[in-house]
Amino acid sequence: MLFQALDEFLVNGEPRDVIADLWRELCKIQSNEWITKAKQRDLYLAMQGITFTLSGIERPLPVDLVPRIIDAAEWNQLETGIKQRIKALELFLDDVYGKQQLFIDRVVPKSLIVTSEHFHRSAHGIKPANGVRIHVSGIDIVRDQHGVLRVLEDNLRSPSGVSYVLENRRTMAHVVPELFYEYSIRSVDEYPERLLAALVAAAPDRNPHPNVVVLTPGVHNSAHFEHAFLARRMGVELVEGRDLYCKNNQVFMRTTKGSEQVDVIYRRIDDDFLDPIHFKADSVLGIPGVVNAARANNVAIANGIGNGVADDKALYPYVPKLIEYYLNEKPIIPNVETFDLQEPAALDYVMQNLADLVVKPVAASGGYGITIGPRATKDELKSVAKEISQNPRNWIAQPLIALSTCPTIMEDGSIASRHIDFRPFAVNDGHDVWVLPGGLTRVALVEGNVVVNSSQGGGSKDTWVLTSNESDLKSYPEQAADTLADPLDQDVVPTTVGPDVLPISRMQQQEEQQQQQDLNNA
Amino acid sequence: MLSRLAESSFWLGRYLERAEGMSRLLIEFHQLLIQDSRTHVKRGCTLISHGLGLEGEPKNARELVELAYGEPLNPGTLLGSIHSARSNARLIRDILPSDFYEAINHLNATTEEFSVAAPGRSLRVILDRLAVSNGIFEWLAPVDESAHFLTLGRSLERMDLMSRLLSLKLEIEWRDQGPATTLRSVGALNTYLRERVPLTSQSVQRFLVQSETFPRSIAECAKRADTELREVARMTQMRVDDILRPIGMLESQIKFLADDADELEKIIYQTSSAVAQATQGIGLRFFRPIGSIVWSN
Amino acid sequence: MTWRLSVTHSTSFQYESEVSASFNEARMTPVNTDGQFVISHELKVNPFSTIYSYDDYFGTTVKSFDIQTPHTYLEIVSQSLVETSARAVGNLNASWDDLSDETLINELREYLSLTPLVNLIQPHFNLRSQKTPLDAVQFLNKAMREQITYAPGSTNVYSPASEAWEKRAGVCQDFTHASISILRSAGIPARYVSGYLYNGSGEIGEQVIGESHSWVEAWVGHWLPFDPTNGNPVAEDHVLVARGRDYHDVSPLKGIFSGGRSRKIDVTVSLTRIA
Repeated sequence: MLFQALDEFLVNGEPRDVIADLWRELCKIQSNEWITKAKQRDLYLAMQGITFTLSGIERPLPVDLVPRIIDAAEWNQLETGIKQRIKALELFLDDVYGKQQLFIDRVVPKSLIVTSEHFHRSAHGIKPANGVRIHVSGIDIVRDQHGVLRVLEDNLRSPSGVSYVLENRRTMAHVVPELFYEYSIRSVDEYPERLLAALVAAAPDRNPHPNVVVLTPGVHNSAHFEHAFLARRMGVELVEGRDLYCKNNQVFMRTTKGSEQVDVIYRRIDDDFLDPIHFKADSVLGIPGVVNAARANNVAIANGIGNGVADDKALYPYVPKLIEYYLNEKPIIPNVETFDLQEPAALDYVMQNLADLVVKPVAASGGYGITIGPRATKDELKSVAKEISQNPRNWIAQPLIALSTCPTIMEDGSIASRHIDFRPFAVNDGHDVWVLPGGLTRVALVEGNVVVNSSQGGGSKDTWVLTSNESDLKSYPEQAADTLADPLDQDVVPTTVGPDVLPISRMQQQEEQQQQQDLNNA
Repeated sequence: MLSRLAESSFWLGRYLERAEGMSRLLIEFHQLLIQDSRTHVKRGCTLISHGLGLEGEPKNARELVELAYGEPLNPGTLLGSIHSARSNARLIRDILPSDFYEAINHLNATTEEFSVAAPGRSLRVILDRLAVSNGIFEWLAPVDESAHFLTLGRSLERMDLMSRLLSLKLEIEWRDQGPATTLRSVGALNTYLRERVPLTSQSVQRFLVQSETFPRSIAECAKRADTELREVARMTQMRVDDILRPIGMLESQIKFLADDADELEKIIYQTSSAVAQATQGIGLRFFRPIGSIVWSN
Repeated sequence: MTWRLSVTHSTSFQYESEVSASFNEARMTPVNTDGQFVISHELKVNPFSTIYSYDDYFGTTVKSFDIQTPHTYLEIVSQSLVETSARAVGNLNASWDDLSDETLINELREYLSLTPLVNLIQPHFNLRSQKTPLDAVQFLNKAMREQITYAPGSTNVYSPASEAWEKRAGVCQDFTHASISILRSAGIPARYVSGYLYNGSGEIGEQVIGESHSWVEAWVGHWLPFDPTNGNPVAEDHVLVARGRDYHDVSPLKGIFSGGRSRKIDVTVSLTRIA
C-alpha cells in the first residue's frame, strides 16, 4: 500500500479502548482452534443452505470470525449522515422525473442526466403513492487513511447483502459466542419487519392490508437465496414474472384460488428486464404493463423505476451539492474527492496524473473495470487514457484511498489485517429513514487487495454496532410504541416474526439459569 | 398458493409415481422375458413397449429395458420421469422439506450407475430411493395445498399405470405366469394370495380394479384422488364437482360392478381417459397454464 | 389562415393464428402546440378494451391498452378534430457562435447527440460553411431531395439514416433521420416530428387520402419546422402528433404481442377540411 492504512482495532499495535475486551478474547484462541472454528462455521452455513452463486457454483459466503465493531457515537454520525443523504436523493429523483427545477437552478448539468443510460424517460411523471422511490438503499462507506468516514458509492436500485447481515450474526453467535459476552450489541433482526412496514406504507390507496410480493428473476439468480430469505421472513409470496400479469392497468397474481390483485412489488429485477413494453422487449423476467400500472398508481414498485440515475457514478461528485440544494445542510458524511472529467481543467489534471489515481468506468459494477494507477502497467495506463479521452463522460477519477484494515482470520489460523469497506442498509417508509444498526462489512481476503466486492471473491464480517444505553436493546414493537407519532402509523401493525436470535442480554440470563440448575444437580 | 408452484407439485407427484410404477414393471417384465423361452420373445417385447406407450420395436429383454429406461428428455420413460421429477422439485425447492428435496436429488444421482445389462439391481436401487423419498414426504411434509396436489398427482398417475398394465393382458401371451407377473409388478402378489381366491386373470383384474384392501387398486386410488381434490377445493374455495365427475362415475361403476367380464374391461379402458380429463380439468381450474410466452413487437 | 381538419388514422392487423395477448401504446393524438389546437380526439379499439391516457416525457399524449382475449384481428382508429394555422416562429437569427454556447448545448443535449437510428452521415458538403445556421437549414432542405429519392420499399422501419443516404432512396422517416443526423453533426439541435400530412386541394368537405408523415424541427434561435421530404413549408396542412429524438420516441403504435403468426398490416389516413 502506498499510504499507511489505519486499522479498525489497533493503534500502534495496541487495541483501542472499545476493542480491548474483544482483543483479549481473540488472543486466547490458538490458530489451530481458529481452523476448527472455521470448519464449524462452514458446516453451519452448509446445513442452513446459506449460499451465494459465484460463476455458476453455489458456495457458502465466508463470514470471517472476527467481527467489526462500531461504537455508538460513530454510529450516530453514520446514521444521521445516511438519513440525510437518502432524503436528498429522494428529493432529487422526484425533481428529475418531475419539474426538473434543479436544471433551471443549475445545480447539475442537464446533459449529465439526460445522457445517463439509467435516466428512464418512461419514469417521467410517475408519482409513487407515498412519494418514496428509494425504499431500500445500501450506501457503501470507507474510512480513509486520516480516519475520516466517506461515502464511496450509493446503491439505490437493488442493493443486496442484507440477508448475509442477519445470517452472519446468527453464525457468529453459533460459532464464537465467547466473543459476545462483554458487549452490548444492537440487534439486526428487525430488518424484515421494517422492510415489510415500509412496503405496506407504499401501497396505493393507503390500503392497510395490501398484497405484497417479492419479485425474483428465479432460482438461477446469484442472489436468489436473499430473495427467498426476505420473502420468508416477511411472510409474503415470492414470485417470478410469469406468476404475474397486468390487466386494465392492474397487476394480478396467478394462484390456485384464481387471480389475486397485487398492491406492492418489491422487485429484485433490474429496470431493463422489468417490462418488455418499455424496456428490453425480449425479457421474459418481467411483467408487460407493470410500468403503466405503477403510473396509474394501481401498484407500487419498490424500488422505484429509474433510480439508477441517482446512483450513477457520474452524479456522485454532485451529491454533496444536492444535499445543500434540497436540504440546506452541509453533508455530514463527505464523498471521496472525485474529479468530474467533463470539466476541462479536471480532465487535464487526471490525464497527467493517471499513475497516481484510481479511475472507474461509470457503467460498471461489482468492482470490474477499475484501474488502480500505482498498480497498473504502462500499457494499461495508455489504453485507459485512450478510452477516457474518447468518452470522458463515462469515467470518474479519485485519489487512491488506503481503506482501513481489520484483523481477519487467515486460512492457516493466524490473524492478519485486511482492507475492509462497509455497506449499511437503510429503509425509507415515507415518514422516516431507518438505518439497520449493523451492515455488511466486506473484507478483501487477499493481502493488499482493495477491491472487496463479493462478486470478486471477497468475504464478509459481522458488524457490531454497540449500544449507548439500555433503550437500544428494546425490540421493535416496544420501540415503535414509544416513537411513533403519526396516528396513521398506529394502524400499521408490523408482522411479528419471532426473532431468531435473542437479544444478547436475555441470552446471558438464560445461560446463568442453566448453570444454576447444574450446580443444583451436582 | 401460486399456480406455478401447485402445478409443479402436482407433476412432481405424477412423475415420482410413474418412476416407481415403471421400475416395478421393468423388474417383473425383464424376469418374465428372460425366464420364458417358450413364447415368441419379440412379440412379447413389442406388446409391452406399446402398452407402455413407448415408440420402438425392441427385439429382446435387454432392448426393452433400454427403451423403457429411455432418456432424460422423454418423460414417458423411466429416466425421463426421474429427471422431470427432479426438475419440478428444483422449481418448488423453497416449499419442500429440505430432506425431501435432497432425497430426490439422491434418486436422480443413482441413475448414473444404471446397468442395462443387469437391470435388476439398478432398478431395486431406484425403488429404494423412491421409498426413502416417499417416506420422508409422509413424515415431514406439512399438509398444505402443495402436499395435496402432490398426492393427487400420485393417485391419478397410479390409476393410469394400473389401467395400462391391465390392458396389456399378459395372460394371453404368458398363460401360466401372466396373472402372477401382473400382481408382482404392482407389489400385490402376497396381498392377493391372502384373499384365498384362485389365481385367474379375471379375478386378478377384478382385484386390482375393485379391492378395498389393496391401496393401489383403481378404486382406492380414485377414492384418494377424490379426497385430495376435495381438500384442495376446501382450501381454495373453488368448485371441483365438474372435475371430479369422470372419477366419481368411475368409482360408482366399480362399486356396482356385476360379474360381467365386458364391463370390467370397459372400466379398465375408461380409467385412462378419466385420468386425462381430470388432469385437464385440474390444469384449467388451478394452474391456468399460459405456456411459454414469447413476445414479438 | 386557419383550417379545421378532421383526421382519421386507421391501423388494422390480420393474423394467421390467434394472438393470445397484446399490450399496446398508441401515439396518434395530435398535440396542442404552437399553430395547432385540438378540438377533440378519440381512440377506438376493436376488440374493445379500456384505454388509458398519459403524457410522456416529450409531451406526447400516449394511449395505452391491452387485449387479453384471443383474437385474429385488431383495429385501431384514431379520430381527431384539429385547428391548424401557420406556425408562428420567433427570432431565427442565431449565429454559429450562439450555438456553441455551453448553456444551450447543455440544455439541448438530447437533440445534439447521435442515436442508432440517427447515425453518422458524412455528406460531401459542409453545413458549417453556410453563413448562418438558418442558411444551413435552408440549404439542407434543398440538398436532401437532391441526395435521396422518395421510394417506398427501399428501406424499412429499422433502417438507420446512413442506409437511405447511401442507397439514395427512402421514405419520409429516412429523410427526417438523415436531415437530423447532418444537422446535429453540424452542431444544430434538431428533433424528429411525427404527424399527418394533408395533400389535397384544400376544398372544403373533400375527403383526401393522406399519410402518416414526419418532418424536422431545427433550433436556430427558435425551433423552426421544415419538411425535407417534399420541401414544402410546414403549415396548416401538417398536423403535429409527437416530437422526439428519433422515430423510436414517436412511433405511432408500439407494443408486444404473443402468438399470432404472420401479421398483415393495413394503414389508412384520411383527412377532410371541415372549415
